[in-house]
Amino acid sequence: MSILDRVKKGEILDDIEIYDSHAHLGKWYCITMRESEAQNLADIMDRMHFKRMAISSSLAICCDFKKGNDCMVKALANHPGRFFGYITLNANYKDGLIDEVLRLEEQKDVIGLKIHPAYSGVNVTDERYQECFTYAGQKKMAVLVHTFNRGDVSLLGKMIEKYPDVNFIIAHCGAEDGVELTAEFLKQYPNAYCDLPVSFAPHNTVEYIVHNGDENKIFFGTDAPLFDYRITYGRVLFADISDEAKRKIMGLNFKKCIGLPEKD
Amino acid sequence: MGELKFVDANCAIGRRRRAYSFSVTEKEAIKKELQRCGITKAVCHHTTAREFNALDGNRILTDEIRGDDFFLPAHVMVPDYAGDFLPFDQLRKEWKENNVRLIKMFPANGEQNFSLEKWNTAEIFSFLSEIKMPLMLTFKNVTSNILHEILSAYPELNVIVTDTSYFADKDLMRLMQLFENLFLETSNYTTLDGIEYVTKKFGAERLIFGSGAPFVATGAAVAKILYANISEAEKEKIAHGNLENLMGRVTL
Repeated sequence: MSILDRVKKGEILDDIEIYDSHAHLGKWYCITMRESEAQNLADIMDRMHFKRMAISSSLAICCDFKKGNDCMVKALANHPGRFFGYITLNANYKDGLIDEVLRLEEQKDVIGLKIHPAYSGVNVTDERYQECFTYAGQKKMAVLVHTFNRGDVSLLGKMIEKYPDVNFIIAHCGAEDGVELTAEFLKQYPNAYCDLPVSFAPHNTVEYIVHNGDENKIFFGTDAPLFDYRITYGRVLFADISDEAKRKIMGLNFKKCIGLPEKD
Repeated sequence: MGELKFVDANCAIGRRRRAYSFSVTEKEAIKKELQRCGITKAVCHHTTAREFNALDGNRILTDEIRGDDFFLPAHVMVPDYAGDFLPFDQLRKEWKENNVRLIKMFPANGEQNFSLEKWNTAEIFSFLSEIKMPLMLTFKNVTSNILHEILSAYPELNVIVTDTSYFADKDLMRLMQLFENLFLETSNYTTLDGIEYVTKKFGAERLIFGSGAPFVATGAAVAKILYANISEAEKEKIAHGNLENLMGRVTL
């Protein structure tokens, strides 16, 4: 039976490896969240048969990146084997971005860096981030960058080109008007990847990126607990693409990108 | 576990001002996608009625879906005080002829640009209440205060809010608590476990499935209901029963 036929019946897909590449820990400033802590995320994973979830701290993105990163590291330690973590950086502060990377990078299951240019108001091309990108390349860390329009994707493209040793993840595929450029970058740059979470996305975006980009470089991600995890779950599993592409997007691609063995 | 029957309360057909190379706009393509995801019928408006002219757009819709049993028409309504729409008696006739059982309003700037304040809409809402015509409003286009005013002044008017996204809950849940004539269309309701919360707090009767197509990926809209942690009977109500009930009450 095809994956589409199974999800149309509401079946939980326990034979597919599902890695949520983009989730958050904790509350957000304007969004209703009744359950946002690490245990709540673990409950979602259990309910939907997700294997692991990669999180960044919402506190780190919205307000205090150091305090937030501490929360992220604590969640990794308290739930071994359930989460991966991103170190969030905010270049508005002078107290050493590279020091923050060095402070946390050796923590188990920390896999990369997270930059949110829209909230911090600092472009991803800003000089203050460059040292961290160089270091990420040396240490094979992924860099997840929030994008929400074509301009964001275009700026990130400059970094993708400048740092070929860094695997950059174009978060949200540039939302609606950045989708076409995201697909171009996936084809053009070996170190360009993208993820799919978004509160809403029009018809055909997953199909477009698969057919015009590269189905091996697209990651499933929910953005939970900001949004309901079933939104992107449905977008991928109902998409008009092959079952093989769905399996890659739901987990295999992300595993490969962060260097997990095929049999994890 | 069988497949759930879905009837879509909220989709749109037709070309729009802004589109991308991946955009889907034409009727047959939208229908194919909705059917592929398990939707058996869809109530749609035409984009020209929203982004151009309500009267012309409604007539274009009539022409485009004539003879197609999959689509049911949702007409876009504007006030007629400027003499460029239709008086109530003509509307009633047109809606009866075309089996219109759901009305939408797009009062925002850049769309049909009118006030929803009482001085402009009292007669309209009285008319819709009288014929039990459900009214769909975009949450982004209407303030919480106006919505409160409408729901309290017209308890017989069933209002379905759509496009609630992630920022609405703090006002919306209070309005849901206060007014039983308020219904929530689910396509762009994104709160984590929001379907479960509303079902538990206010009853599954208050939720209405919509695809939001083609602005929302149909699989996302469907999965939220299929995988909700509620009973099968509650899913049936949300997926089609509540909408059929509201539309079945219309007296033209």
